[in-house]
Amino acid sequence: MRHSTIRITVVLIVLFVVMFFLFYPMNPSNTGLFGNIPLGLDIKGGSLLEYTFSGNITPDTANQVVTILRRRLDDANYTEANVSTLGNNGIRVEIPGIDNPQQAENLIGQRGELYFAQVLDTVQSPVKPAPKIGLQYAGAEWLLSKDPSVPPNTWYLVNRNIQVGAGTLQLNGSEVSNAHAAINTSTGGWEIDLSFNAKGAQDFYQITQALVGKPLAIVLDNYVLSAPIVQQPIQGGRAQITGNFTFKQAQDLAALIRSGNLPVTLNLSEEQTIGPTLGSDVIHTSIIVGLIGIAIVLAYMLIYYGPLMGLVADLALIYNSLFILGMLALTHSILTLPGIAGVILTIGITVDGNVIIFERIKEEMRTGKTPKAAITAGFTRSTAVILDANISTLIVAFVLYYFGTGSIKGFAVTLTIGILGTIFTSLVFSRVLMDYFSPFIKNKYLPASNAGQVQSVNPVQKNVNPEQKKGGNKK
Amino acid sequence: MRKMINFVGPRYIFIGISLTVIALSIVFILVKGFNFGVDFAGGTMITASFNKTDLQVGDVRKIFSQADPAFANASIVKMTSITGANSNTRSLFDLTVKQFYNAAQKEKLYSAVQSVAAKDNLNVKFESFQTVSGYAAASLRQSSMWAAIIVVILLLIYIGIRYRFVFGIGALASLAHDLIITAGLFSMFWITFDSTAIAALLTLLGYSLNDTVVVYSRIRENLKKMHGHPIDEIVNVSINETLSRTINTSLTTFIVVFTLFLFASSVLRPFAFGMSFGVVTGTYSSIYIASPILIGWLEKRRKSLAKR
Repeated sequence: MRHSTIRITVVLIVLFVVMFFLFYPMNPSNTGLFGNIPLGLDIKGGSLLEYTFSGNITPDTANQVVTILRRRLDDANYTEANVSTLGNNGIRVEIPGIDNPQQAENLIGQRGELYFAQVLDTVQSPVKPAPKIGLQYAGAEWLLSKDPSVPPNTWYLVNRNIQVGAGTLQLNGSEVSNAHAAINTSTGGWEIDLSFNAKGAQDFYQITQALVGKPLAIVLDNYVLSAPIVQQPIQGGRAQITGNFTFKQAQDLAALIRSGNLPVTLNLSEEQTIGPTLGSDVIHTSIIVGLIGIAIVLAYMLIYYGPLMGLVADLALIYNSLFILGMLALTHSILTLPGIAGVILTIGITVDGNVIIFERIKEEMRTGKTPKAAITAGFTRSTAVILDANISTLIVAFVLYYFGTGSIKGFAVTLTIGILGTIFTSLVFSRVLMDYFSPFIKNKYLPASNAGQVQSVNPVQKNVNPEQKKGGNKK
Repeated sequence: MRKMINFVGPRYIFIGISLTVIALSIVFILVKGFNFGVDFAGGTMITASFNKTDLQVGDVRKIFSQADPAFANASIVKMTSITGANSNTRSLFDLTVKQFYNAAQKEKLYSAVQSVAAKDNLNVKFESFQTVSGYAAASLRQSSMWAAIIVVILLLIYIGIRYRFVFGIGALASLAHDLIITAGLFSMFWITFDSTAIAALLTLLGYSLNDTVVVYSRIRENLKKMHGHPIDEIVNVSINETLSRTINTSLTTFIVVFTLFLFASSVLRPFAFGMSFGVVTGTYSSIYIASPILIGWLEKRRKSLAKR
C-alpha cells in the first residue's frame, strides 16, 4: 500500500510538471498566456466562410473543390487557411487572422476558368454592347476588361474558337503547366508567366502565327485579363500576361490559373468574421470570470469541508484545471469561446467527484469506522457512482462533437477533457492526498467526541423545515 | 441520528407545481416563440464599434438605416464598450437584421455606413460580421434536432443498461421537465436561442441525469440494505443521504455559470443563461420529481414480487 502510494505520487508529480510545461508558453509576453493552445477564430479573429455548390454535383465534387481551394489559398499565402467539406454539397473555409475576407472571397468564389480568345472588336461602353450579327461573329461574346492599363468600361468581342488557317483552335487553362508571378523587366510592374505543356506549346505557336499584328485575349472567369497585340509567333511554350498588376494580384491570379477550374459554382451561404479586438476583449473577461469562479469554489470547499478535506478538493480543482489546459496544448485542440465556457463549467463539475467521495466518507465515519477505513470504504463505494454520473455528460459531449460546428466542437472537446480529468483527479489524485492526510483526520462521529457536534456537521440541514420526519435513518 | 427532510410526503404538491410550470413554459414556447439567433433563423448580425462612447441605439439606427433601409427595423443592442488597439475606448453595438449579405453586398453596406458616419465625424468599424443564408440556417436547425434526438436515445439506452426500466422512465420524466422549463425560460426572457443555447440544453441533459443517477444508485443500494422498509421511506432516506452532495455540486456549478452569465460577452450569454437556470431546475427535479415518481412503480413491483 505504502509503496504504491509513493509510486502514484511520483507519477502525479511528473504528470503535473509535464502538463505545466505543455501549457505554459516559453514566452508568455509575446504569445499571451495561451501561446501553446491554438485559439479558434472566434477568439483570435478571422473569417469562416461556408459555400454550397450549384451545377453538376458528383460524389467526388466536394473533395475536388477542397483540393483546388487548398492549393489556391496556399499559393496566395493564406497558409493557415483550413478547407473542409460539409457533406456532399458544401465546403467550409476558415482563415484565421484576417478581418477583411474580401480578397480571400474573390479567390475562393472564382471558377478559375482560363482560355485564350481571338478579339473581333473593342468598344468602350458603360453597359454591355448589343451582340453583333453576322456569320463571322458566330460564337463570339462581349466580355468586360479587367486590365487596369486600358480605359475603364472597355468591352472586347471575343471568340474562343480562334481562326487558324482554314480551321479553328481552342486553347484553355488545362494546357497550362505552370503559372507564377514575375517582375516585368520593361515596365517594372508585376506580370504572370505561363508555361504550356507540349500540346499547348504547339497550339500557342500556331495561334500566335495566325494572329501576328492582332490582339489575343486572355480570359479568366469571363473577364478579359489582358489583350496584348501579338508581335511575332511565339515558340517554346511560354507566355506572359502583362497588365500592370500589383504583386498580390499577380500572385493570386497565378494561383487561380495553376489550381485549375472548379467543377461547380460556389455560392456563399454563411460568413462569420471576427476582428481581433473583440476576441481579445472576450478572452480577457472570460479569464477574469474563470478566476472569480475558481476563487469562490475554492473558498466554498474550504469553508464547507474544513481545512483538510477542503484543501484536497481545492488541490484537485487546480490539478484538473492544469490538466485540461495541458491536454488542450498536447492534443492541439482549438480553444473556442464555447470551449472556454466548457472549461469554466468543468470547474463547477470537478468538485462533484470529491463531494461524492467526501459525503460517503462522512457517512462511513458515522457508522463508527476509523478515518482510514472510512476513507478506503468511501473511495471504493463512490467509484461506480462517479463513473456512472460522468458517463452521461460524456455521451452528450460526444454527440455535440459529432454534430457541432467549429465553436461548439470546441465546447465538446473541453468538456470531454474536463470530464476525463475530473474522473482521474477524483479517483487517483484525491485518493493519494487523502491517504497522506488520513492520520490528521478525526472521526467526530465516534462516541468519544462531543455528540452535540453532529447537528452542525451539515449546515444545509439547519434550514430543515418543521415538518421533518423523526428518526428516519434506522440503519 | 440524522435529521430527515420529508421530500416524498408532499410529492403530489411538487409534481403539481412542476406540471403547472411546464404547462406555462409550453404556452410561452407556443405563443411567444423563441428569439432565434441568426445561425438558426438566417440573417445577419453585426457588431459595430464607434469612436464615440456616448452614442445611443437611436443614433446607430439612424446611421445604419441611412446606409441601408433594411436596418430601420433592425434589433440593436448597446454592449459594454471595448478598448481598441490604441487603448481608446469604443462604444459597441450588436445589430441584427433578417437579410443575408453576400461578399459584394457586405462591402457595399460597409462603405455606405462608413461614409454616412463620416458625415457626423464618426469612425465606425465592423468588429464582427455574421451572415447566414436560409439554407445554412435550415441545415443547422436540422442537425441540432438530430443531435437532441440522438442524445436522448443514447442517454435512455445508457440508463436502461445500468438501471431497471422504471428508473429510465423516471429519468426521462425529469429530463423532459428540465428541458421544457429551461426552454420556456429562454422564451420568457427573450434570450437569444442559438447553437450555444442548444449546447447548454444538451449539456444540461447530461448534468441533470448525473444528478439523478447519484440519487438512483443510492435508492438501488438502499432497496437491498433497507429490505422490509416502506418504499417511500427508502426513497426519502436516499434523497436525504445524497442531499448535501446534490446541493454542494449544484451550488458550485451554479456559482461559476452564473458568474459567466453576469460578466460574459454576448456570445456566451445564451449558454450561461441556459446552464444557470438549468442547474436550478435540474437540482429541483432530481430531488422532487425524479425519485418521488418512482415510488408508485417500485411499490407495484414489490407487491407483484410478493405474490409470486
